[in-house]
Amino acid sequence: MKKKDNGWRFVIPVIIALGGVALFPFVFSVYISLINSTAYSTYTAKFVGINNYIALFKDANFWNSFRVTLVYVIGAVSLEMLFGTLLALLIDSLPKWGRVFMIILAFPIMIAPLVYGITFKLMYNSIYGFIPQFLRIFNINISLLSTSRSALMSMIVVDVFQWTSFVFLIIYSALQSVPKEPLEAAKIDGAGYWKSVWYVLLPILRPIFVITLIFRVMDTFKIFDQVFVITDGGPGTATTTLSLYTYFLMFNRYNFGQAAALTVTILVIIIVITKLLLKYFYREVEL
Amino acid sequence: MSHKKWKKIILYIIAIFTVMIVDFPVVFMFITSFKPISQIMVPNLKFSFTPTLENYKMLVTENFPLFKYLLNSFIISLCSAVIAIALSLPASYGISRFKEKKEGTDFWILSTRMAPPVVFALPMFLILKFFNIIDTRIGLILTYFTFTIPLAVWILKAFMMEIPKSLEEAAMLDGATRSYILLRIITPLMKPGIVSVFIIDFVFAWNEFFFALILTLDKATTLTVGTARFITGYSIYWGSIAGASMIAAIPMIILMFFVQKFLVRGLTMGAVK
Repeated sequence: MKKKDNGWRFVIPVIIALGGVALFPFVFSVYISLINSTAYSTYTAKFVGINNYIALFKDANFWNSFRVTLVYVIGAVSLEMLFGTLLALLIDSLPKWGRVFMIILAFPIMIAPLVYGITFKLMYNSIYGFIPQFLRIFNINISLLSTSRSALMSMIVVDVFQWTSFVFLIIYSALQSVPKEPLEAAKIDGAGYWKSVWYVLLPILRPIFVITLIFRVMDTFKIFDQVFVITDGGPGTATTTLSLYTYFLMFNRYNFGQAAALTVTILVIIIVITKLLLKYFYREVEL
Repeated sequence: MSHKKWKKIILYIIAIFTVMIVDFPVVFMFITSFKPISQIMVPNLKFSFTPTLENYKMLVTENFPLFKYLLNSFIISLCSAVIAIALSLPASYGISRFKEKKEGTDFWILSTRMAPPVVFALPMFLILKFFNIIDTRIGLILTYFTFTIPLAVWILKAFMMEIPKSLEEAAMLDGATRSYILLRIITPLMKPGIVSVFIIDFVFAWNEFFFALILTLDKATTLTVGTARFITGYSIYWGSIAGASMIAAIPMIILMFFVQKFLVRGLTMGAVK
């Protein structure tokens, strides 16, 4: 009798590759977070236990970047979900040109976030930028990037502009494959359009919403490129996200130990958030 | 009847208006790239100007190593996509056909996609430094595996699930081995899946900025990092930036046309069709 083929040999190359570039680096990161490592002493540093974590949790800048990231994630993702869904409903009601609209609306997601950041940096410029000039027509005179609140809001706007398309695309193609009979039945029963969307369509789409939500939360949580190029975390630390603060610890302070402690913390936070989202929203279908 | 027609027309107008808003930044940068430098930094809202190619000419002639950056971006994206597919195709076969004991493995692969790149940035920086491959293409290709492989495994797995097992069973009765089946029967059927994974991996690698910023200095600098270099502490070369941005963006938009049918499945790693 031949030994049963369990297929591991097909999976092993990927396990080795990811073990080398993802798992080992992460374990290494955990190790660095436990030593007092700087750029100059990575290999000679001493074991300091959880001191880096204690220092991190006492660091006001860490809590600030955590708060900035949360505001950013909640603001950007909720607006993207709302606009993306409305847009999907709109395009879904126009079947004739739906495909064309879909392709044109998908442009933003193929473009580097950095390029979007650069574009908005130009459009936000307080002297010759398009947006301040446009607002001046309505007698609104603000310098978008110079106050804490408006700078963070401006960053959220960049993300919403680029990634509403992502939500649109997924919800739209889900709408295409949803059976339309329940919706028609609700209409015949006299429910208005919005009422039938709310009570009939949205519950059907619930699993899709959760997947979209998780992807957007995961991606906004790691936000770096646009903020780095537009404000570099400023004014002050008003737009310093967790990724930006880690970068700062690594390459401005050269405090590798604390930076590593921060990355381990970030990973724990993102895993907790994903698990919570899955637990509370994801019942019907398995991932 | 005409009431319904009016409603349709209004909906179309709203849709066209929305499309214009959504794509405004892309179009704005496109237009800017043809503006004379003297008119980019002028505070007026006029869109009338004489289009010029001077920004693009500057990129080619001035001391901006455009072709080096383009070549780096191209080679790095190509290799990290192709190698990821070569490794992931058997893996996705293994995961989709041999269920037992592998649920943990595929979630682990997914979680590497979940982790922010910053988690890998510091250790990869130190590891590449240790092996003396910082600022090399190979270093960046290896680092990009952290996202190209999970994407490839998950998307290919979703495509693989749709290939009926009866095909393989018939071949196995004829005495074909698993490897033969994977190479000769499954792979040809997976063409659409492989093409879309290739394009999505390629685009992700091409658009990547954070790793490229940290792990390259000059030799392996990619186009995204090169473009950002125009923003210096002293001045910002908007004309050249707009030109370089368009050179980075337009090929990706064109690639999208080839993959639009599978775009949603690709972007959600196979979770949504």
